[in-house]
Amino acid sequence: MPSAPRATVDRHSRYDHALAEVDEWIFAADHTARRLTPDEIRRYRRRKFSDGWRTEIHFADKARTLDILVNKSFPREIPRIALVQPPPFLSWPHVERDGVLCLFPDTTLADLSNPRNVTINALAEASQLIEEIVAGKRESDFREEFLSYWSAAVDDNAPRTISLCEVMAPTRHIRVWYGKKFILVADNDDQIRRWLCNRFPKSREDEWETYVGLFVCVDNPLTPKEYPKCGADVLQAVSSLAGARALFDEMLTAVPSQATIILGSRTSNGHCLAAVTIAPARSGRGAFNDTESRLTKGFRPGKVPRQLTVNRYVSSSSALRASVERADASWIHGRDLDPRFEQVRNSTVAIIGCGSVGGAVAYGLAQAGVGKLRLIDPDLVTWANIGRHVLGASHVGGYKAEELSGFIRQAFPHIQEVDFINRTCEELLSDVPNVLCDSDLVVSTMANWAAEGTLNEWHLSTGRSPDIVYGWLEPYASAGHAVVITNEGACLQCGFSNIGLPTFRVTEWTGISTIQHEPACGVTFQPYGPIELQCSCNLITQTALDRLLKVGGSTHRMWIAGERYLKTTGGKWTREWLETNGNASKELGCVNERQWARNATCLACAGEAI
Amino acid sequence: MFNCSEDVVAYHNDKVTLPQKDRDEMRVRRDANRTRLKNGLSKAEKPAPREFKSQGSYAMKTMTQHPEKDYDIDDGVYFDKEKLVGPRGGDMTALEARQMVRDALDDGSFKKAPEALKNCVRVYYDAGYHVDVPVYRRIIEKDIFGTEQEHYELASSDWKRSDARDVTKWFEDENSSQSPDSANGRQLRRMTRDIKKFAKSRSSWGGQILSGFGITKLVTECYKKNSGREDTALYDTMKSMRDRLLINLVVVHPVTPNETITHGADDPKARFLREKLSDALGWLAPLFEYDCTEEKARKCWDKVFSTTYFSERSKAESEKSCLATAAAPAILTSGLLQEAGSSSSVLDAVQKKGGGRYA
Repeated sequence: MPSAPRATVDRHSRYDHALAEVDEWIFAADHTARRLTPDEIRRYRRRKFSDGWRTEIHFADKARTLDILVNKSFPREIPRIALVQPPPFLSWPHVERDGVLCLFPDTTLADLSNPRNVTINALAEASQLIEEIVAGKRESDFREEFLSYWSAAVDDNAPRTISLCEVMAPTRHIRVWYGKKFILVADNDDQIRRWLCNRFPKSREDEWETYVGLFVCVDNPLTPKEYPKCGADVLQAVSSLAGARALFDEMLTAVPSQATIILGSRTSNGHCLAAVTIAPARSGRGAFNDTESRLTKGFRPGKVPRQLTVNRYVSSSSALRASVERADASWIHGRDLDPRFEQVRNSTVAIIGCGSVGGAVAYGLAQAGVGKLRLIDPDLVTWANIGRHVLGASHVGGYKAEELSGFIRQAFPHIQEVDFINRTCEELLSDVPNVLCDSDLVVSTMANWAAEGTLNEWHLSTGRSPDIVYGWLEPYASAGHAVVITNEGACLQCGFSNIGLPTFRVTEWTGISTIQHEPACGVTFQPYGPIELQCSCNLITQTALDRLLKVGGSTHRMWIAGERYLKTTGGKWTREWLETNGNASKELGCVNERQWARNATCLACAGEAI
Repeated sequence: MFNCSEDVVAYHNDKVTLPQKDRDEMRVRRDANRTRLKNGLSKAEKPAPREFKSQGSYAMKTMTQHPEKDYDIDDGVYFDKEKLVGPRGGDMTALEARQMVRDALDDGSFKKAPEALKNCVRVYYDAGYHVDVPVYRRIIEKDIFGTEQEHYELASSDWKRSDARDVTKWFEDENSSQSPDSANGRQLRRMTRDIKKFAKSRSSWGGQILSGFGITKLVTECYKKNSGREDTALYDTMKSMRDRLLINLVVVHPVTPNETITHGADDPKARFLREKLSDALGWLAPLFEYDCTEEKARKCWDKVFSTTYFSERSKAESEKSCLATAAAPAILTSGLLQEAGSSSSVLDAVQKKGGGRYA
């Protein structure tokens, strides 16, 4: 049966056809249904709805009027359904302040060719939700999706609250820093100071004063009815939790101008935090001292019974509810769900060579959650570097290691340590070798034979601990290498000739000079750009991470750029690569792995096992 | 052709394809059987299986509904060859392997004991259905380059090179590559189910008509896709199968070289299928007449499948709140909405879990 060729449908026609299709269905299905007026649509401010219908649905308990609302992307986007007369906000789950129902996640797809069924689907979902809410079956949603409801109930003037606290039990005192624009909470002062110093390098120590706060573990997330509205509510909540009351009282004994309590609980989707800051009302004359005197009235200074202090404090306190932004390491690195993070958070990695490769590797490891880095490089950042380095213009003129340290600390202020040493590898090994000995892993991205040869000899002399990952590129970044040297297997020299040439290379450049010169004596560079670099840096970073996670052992991994790229740069595959690989590499690149074999004539280890 | 596409889809969804509940039930039975076999082998100190793999129509998801829910599952058991050692130290024969599996499955709880048939061990259940357990051994050999290659052999009259997983993969590949859609099992699979259902529509045809596997192979050969009209796809496919059988009654095995599903050049079951397909095409002829009505068209489809579903559906649509037609009632209730929302066409219109792309 021949089918007519399908005409191209433009967006506006499709939208109009979709509206017409829904019109046809809904007017036949509900005699009261009608299109919404522009004023009725405008009622849903900031929603960008363009059209809609009003319909009456008969539920088990009573009839309700619903609006079906679409935007210009309909039917590609599913319609929203709203209760025209919603119940009081936060008395029903999944109902937003303007009555719009939250029915579908952001990932929802809708069938472009079937606007009628898409609309029926949305209405069916809405009617099921309403029936279940009326029957009392959805109360638990307030707890399971606590963060959504709490964020809808935060006070307008609540301070922004950022947390570095561990989210697990127990209920405990924490430290709080009250800044002008946000509050920072953490488990100890060191965390607060380190974070502020990293995040705001120009801040001063005298700006880092902290106060005592409280982290309370709540068995179940609160429902809206239980959200505290004043100090007395907070007192009631903590009184019902084992161990919390005593800590709460202790916190208020010093009569602080304000006190912050973090409520921590757990749902099936993970941990959630909420913040409440209580502060006694100021007197009419405005000075806190007046407030303090009200709280201590009738007693000599320091003699007010604790219980009375607490009662007077909370009875006169308002409670500001605030959302908590988690900025702790476990949240940032995997939202509590990356099992690798727990293994690397306390690891120390020393990176020797902070150029375009080392910089990316250091940044990548920090982003993966490695807790401590030690960066070693004697060079300065120049303008030419920033075209392919993680560091930018604001770092030009500074030492690579030092600038990279500051850059990483500012990007990840929760990181435990990022030390720097603006010296050569030889100087390091001579003066402070413990920087390497005390690390869990060393990554060398120097690509300098003299330095790496020396490093290798040092490594052999120390029993080859810790492991070292050597990373380098071939000309034009046409291939990248990551070699893992452990205390078993070959040493680095085993894979190099006496003069320092790798015995296994992927590319060769006969008749082509791969080294470019600057108009200065002895100054050379490799003409690869940032894009060619990425895959090799990822390979080296992944290999380093694998070693930290104890995945695999001594090995040699390679990233090989595609045939297409090699041809444009004038290179060719080496015979040893073709023999290993069988065919030429894929058009767009590939990864390969081989053994880093022992060499019986190695000048460094003579091919002997440790 | 009079458009009954929606009705044909609805018939498939309601009366042909296995409901998920039935599939779940079968999975439970299959798993219980596997546990029984593993325990039986362990108790008798016989080798443990390497793996199990469902096969046949269950694995290809082409099973069709049975009025008494008597479904026959094929669940292959795989052993390493070197573990199947006979009583005298040599390789176990195919018969010995089947007997070993039969003995392990017979824990004394069955009214009719499991039987070692020619190509499998059959476990009989009270409810009338059975589970067939073909027995395979895995063989590793080195080729002339020294590279290890594995293949599988079925315990038949002798060890015969075969692997039913190849059949499952073959069907999945055909279904993916030929079907114009990707929802509801894809169209080629739906056609296979519909025509198998047709082949079982009369109890008198049982035993006379080509097997489900043979029908499956013919559908993949003769399938005529039509993304917009399910009824046309079904009609055209049936016609193409009938025409193909007019030329040649032999149906070759899709993966095993030099094997056929049919027997000989004039297989009576293939011929029977051809005749019934001709009948069905004749019953559908009125749909091409200019004055065909909806009622007449539905009766034709009822005749093909020996049912009253199509005619009754027309009544049911006007009694229920059929929200898709102009005859829908003028009041919307939440019950009607939720019922409409549970139909596959409405459910398929929205996908909450997204398209699997992230950035």
